[in-house]
Amino acid sequence: MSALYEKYGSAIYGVITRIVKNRYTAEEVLQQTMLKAWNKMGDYDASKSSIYTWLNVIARSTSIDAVRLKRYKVEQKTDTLDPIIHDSRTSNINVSRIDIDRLTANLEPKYKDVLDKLYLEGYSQSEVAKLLDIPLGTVKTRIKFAIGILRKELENEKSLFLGMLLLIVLILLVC
Amino acid sequence: MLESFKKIQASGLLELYVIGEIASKDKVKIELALIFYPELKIDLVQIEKALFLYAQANSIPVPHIIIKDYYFKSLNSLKTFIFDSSKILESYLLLLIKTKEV
Repeated sequence: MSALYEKYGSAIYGVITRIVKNRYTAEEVLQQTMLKAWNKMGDYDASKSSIYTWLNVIARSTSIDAVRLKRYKVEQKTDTLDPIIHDSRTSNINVSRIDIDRLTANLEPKYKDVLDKLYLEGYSQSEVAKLLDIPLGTVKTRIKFAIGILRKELENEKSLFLGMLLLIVLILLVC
Repeated sequence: MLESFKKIQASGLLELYVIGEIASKDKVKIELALIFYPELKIDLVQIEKALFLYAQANSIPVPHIIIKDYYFKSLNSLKTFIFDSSKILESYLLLLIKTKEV
């Protein structure tokens, strides 16, 4: 279980924090998520999804439940998220393996907006459509397109890495 | 009836399945499709990787207090488990002794 915290804790906590928009609720929801995961471990089926996807779905529904219960969407102030992200305890955002700018360089704001709202902020498709004033079908198309761009970026990164590796091997052989 | 591989791949449902924003009937459809079309798993894994990296890029470190609290709770639940197990064992042994006496 501690391995789950180490490997996925920060990514999950990032999603939870953006959904509940309150640090203390986020901490509570993270603990509930891990506890639920621990209790439901027997239900996890590796053929259906990765452990991260499974954990993220639990975190998402637990966060949404917390928001609904406490009616945060109505009561929250619009400026509550910034202090959480820029808080001294949480300022070292983990980007060791990837560069957010590079990953999202080709992601136009209209696609990024939909992805962030749906994936990171926990809104439903119809809520996103209403918030951004676009048809539901457009939300579906944009989310598929946004993820398609991320997949392409990952492929490019992989090809670049293999190219560099090949180049190093060639240089070593020549030397 | 199960839709064709191409249709499912193009539907955008796989993306919504990974996000966790999918209707129950569509979820069943995707899980069935993953059994009938094992090649769909390649798409699933790529979507999962892309979204995991996106979440990592937007991650927020977990405050140490939560991890400390987690270890404390785990230790407590382990203690409770051991205590409960010993109680069950004790009851079982008592029952065994009583049965023998009878």
